[in-house]
Order: sequence, then structure tokens, then C-alpha cells
Amino acid sequence: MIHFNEVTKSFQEDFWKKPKIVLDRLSFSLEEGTITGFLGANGAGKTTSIKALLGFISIDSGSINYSEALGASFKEVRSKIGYFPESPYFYPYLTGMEFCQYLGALQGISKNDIEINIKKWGEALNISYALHKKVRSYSKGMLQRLGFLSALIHSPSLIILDEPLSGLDPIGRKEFKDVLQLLNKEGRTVFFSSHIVSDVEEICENLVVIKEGKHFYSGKTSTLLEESKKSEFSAVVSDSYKSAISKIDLIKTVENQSNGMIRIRFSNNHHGEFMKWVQDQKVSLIELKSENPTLEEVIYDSSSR
Amino acid sequence: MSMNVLLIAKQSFKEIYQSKVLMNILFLGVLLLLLTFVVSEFSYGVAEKVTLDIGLGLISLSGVAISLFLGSRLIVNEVENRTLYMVLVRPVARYEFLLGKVIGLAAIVFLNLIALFSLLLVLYFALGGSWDNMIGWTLFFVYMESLLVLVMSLFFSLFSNPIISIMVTLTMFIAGHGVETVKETHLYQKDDLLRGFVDFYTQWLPNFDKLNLKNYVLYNKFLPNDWFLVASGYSFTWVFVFIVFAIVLFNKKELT
Repeated sequence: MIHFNEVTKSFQEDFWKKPKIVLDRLSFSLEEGTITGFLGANGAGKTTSIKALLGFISIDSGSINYSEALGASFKEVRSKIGYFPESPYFYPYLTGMEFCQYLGALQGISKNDIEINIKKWGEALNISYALHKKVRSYSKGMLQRLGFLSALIHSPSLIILDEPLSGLDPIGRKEFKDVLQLLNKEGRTVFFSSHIVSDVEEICENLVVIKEGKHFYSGKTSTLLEESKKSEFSAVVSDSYKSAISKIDLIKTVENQSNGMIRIRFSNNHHGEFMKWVQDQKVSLIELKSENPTLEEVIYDSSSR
Repeated sequence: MSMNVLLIAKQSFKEIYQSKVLMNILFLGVLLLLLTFVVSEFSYGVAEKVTLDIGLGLISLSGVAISLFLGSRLIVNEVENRTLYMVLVRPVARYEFLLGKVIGLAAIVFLNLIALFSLLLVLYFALGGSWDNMIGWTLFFVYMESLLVLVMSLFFSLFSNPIISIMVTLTMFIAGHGVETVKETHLYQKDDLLRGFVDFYTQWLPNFDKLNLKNYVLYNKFLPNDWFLVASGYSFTWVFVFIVFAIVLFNKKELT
């Protein structure tokens, strides 16, 4: 649906300083109908990428291509995109309803369609009750909900959200994630940036990870996790077995736990031998698990390498 | 004009209206009433003329001040508050956004001028003044002067910041009003450098003195009909030039 091809962008911070490269030959693709998380630490270049994608800033080199399904001209492409910026600000003297109607009118859709979408997404985002209040009286969470609603006012086929979950309480985060999944079920493409990996892991089937403006990973979330499996088991047993365990060759590490227990780690290949030893010694096994890193561990451990 | 421009203009008008900038009408209205009272006490026989003089001066000042201060922040505020992202991500061209904002502010300036002018006319007639078409033309050129200041401060704000924009516009406004007076001085005749500068200024930069009709109204001076045509064309051309420059700049502006 969207293809970043070797995109480079630099900013001149000061006249006498060298330009700072923010996006460095960044390439990735966004597949139609998917829900894709855009991950990277603060300052990695996520917002810059989104602004380049939407035409707010120019790029130094490379290209950003949009599929024909989005439209032939850039104006047509924009009419099919719903965008929600990071920390949005709204005209405080308007009511939420007036704000949505204004943006809907700019989108060129009928009043009836605007009303239908306000009703549908206002209820899903739990903001309908406040739409007749002035925006200046809204809390941060309410502003986030209004911003999300305004991005959906014209039933866009591509929804781009920049840190949509920041500033929301757990209930709000859950509601937003539900709406993102609902949008995806309706066949819309969702692309959202976050630096909180757990949010992305929970709902995104695809991932784009960038580090210091460079491409780090793009593809299925499950593939990244599969590739990152440590092929290791860990077991927790009483520390009375410590001396016996130290004699077994297959054990990689032994760690003392706080509650009179020890955690031992061994390779997947030695699983059978370990279980035989447990049975022979009549060891009471407290815990046995396959050591799989979380997405957060995979991304930030790998990013720091 | 596209529907988008009108929608943005309406929004811009509403935004400025809600910011209570039109409270200035009330303030200047009261000031005008007070000054008229004082003037009628001291200016025997020509109270209506002095009232008209002060009134037109105040109206001109308020139009220029609103245009200058709000024009310099018209787009900058939208960038700083990130409200323009919500608009420009839609099928709205940047020039439509800019024109909409300008028209919205121009409407506010117009409303401000009309309200103060109406009050001034009431006072003027109450003091025995009579209608002269030149009064209407003066208001028209006061409005054109404000519009020119508006688009100038907007243009300069797009590549600097509001404070620099205000300073540059104000300097050009004062210089533009003063160049014709400088031409009448002895120094202008003697100093080649000054003459070169003033001649360059009058030829290539906005000469606000060409839009100043106040003295003609007050002293009943005669102006040929084509003067109005030339002055209107002159002011429209400058407004157009600055709007085009502003659109070109805004189209290239990085909205970081």
C-alpha cells in the first residue's frame, strides 16, 4: 500500500552545523489490510517518517510510493488517509461535534455521512457524551479520543496514528486497541507508531522497527519472535540440589533465587536428559519453562547491540 | 473560490472572533466618544472636522494594529499548535488553507473598521458634518492599507518569527508613509545616496502614502477620478504580490 524506498531526510539544526540525518536510507513496505506497529525509541525518526509520508516535509532522496488503490494524485491519496498526530491540539472554542463537522466538511463528505461516522466511532471511543462540550473543557484522554474520532470521520482506508496510546489510562488503552482491531477487521490498513512495545505486540501482526533513522526490522511480529527464541529451558528447584546439579555437564547456569530456590538453565537439546535426572533423583520441580524473550527484550536488546 | 477556502475562512473568522480581539471596538469606541466630547468643547466651529480627523486616525490605527499582530501569528499559531496537520492531511491544498486564513482575518478587520466607522459617522453627523464621498473612499483605502499590512506581516512570518515580522512590517509601514515627505526636504535634493534610496523605495516597495486620503478629506482638496483607480490598482497589486509570495513560501515550508 505504501513503500518507502531508500528515504533519507536530514535537518539543519544550526546554520554552522552539519545537517543531522534523521532518516537514513529507510526502506519498508506497508501491506494493505494489515495492522502494523511502527516501533523505535524516542528520536528514532518515527514522526519524521510519518510527516514525510503525509507530505508535511520533503525528503532529501529516495521515494515514497503509494499504491493505486489509494489514488492517482496525492490529493486523492490524502482523502483516503485518516491521521492522528502526536499530542494533538484543537480549536478550544469549538465543541467536539463542531470540530468533527468542520473536518468532515473539508473532507468533502455529506453531512449525513459525517453524522453516521460521529455516532459510530464516538460510541466506540466512548466520547459521544462530551461531543457537545467545548474542547477547552476536555481532559487529555478526551482530547485523544476526539483526535482519533476526527481521523475516522471520512471512513479512511489507511489510518496513520502517531503515538495514539500516550496519555491514556488502562481502560482508554484497551478501548483504543479494540477500535484498532475493529478497524482492521473491517479491512482497513492501520499503521501506528509507539515506543511502548507491549501495546504493539498485543495487536499488531506486522512490525516496522527503526533505530536512529535506519531500518532495523520489518515483517511479521511472530517471525521476529520465532527467530529470537533462545532455544533454552529454565527450571526452578530447591537449593538443596545445588551440589548435585553442579556435577551435571548439561547445565549452563545456576542462579540463586531469594526464596531458597535456584534457577537453572540448559539447552533445548538436553531437555530429555534433564527430565531423566529429575525422575532418577526424585527432584521436586517447582517450575519448568521454555525461555522465550518478549518483543520488548528482542527489540531493545537488539537495538542496543 | 473553492469551498475549502470558505470553510477555512469561516473557521478563521470564528477563531479570531472568539479570541475577543473585537473588544478593541468597545475600547476605541469609548475613546472616540470621550475625544469627541473634549474636541467639541475646545474646537469652535470645526468640531466635526477634528472629530473626523481623530476618528479616521483611530480607525486606521486599529485596522493596522489588528492586521499586524494577528497577521504575524496567523499561520505560525497553526504550526505551533499542530492544528494545521489535522487540516492539511485532508484533501486541502496549502494555498487554500492560507487564503482561507487570510480571508477570515480580513473579514475581522473589515467588521472592526465598519463598526468604528459607523460610530464615527454618528458623531460626525451629530456635530453637524455632512456626507462627502471622499469619506467613503478614505475608509476603503484605510481597509486596503490594513490588508496590505496583514499580508506583509504574514509573508515575513513565514520565514522568520512573529516578532521579526512585526518589526519589519512596521518599519516598512512607517517608511512607506514617510517617503513622500522626505522627497519634499532639502536633504533629498542634496544627498544623492538618500535620493537613490528613497527613489528605489517608492518604485519597488509599498508606498503607503499613496493610500492616505485623510488630508484630502479634511481640507476638501480635489482629487482627479483616475487617482482612485490608480490607487486602488496599486493597493490591490501589492496585496496580490504579497499573497502570491506567501503562497509560494508556504508551499515550500517544512511543517516539522
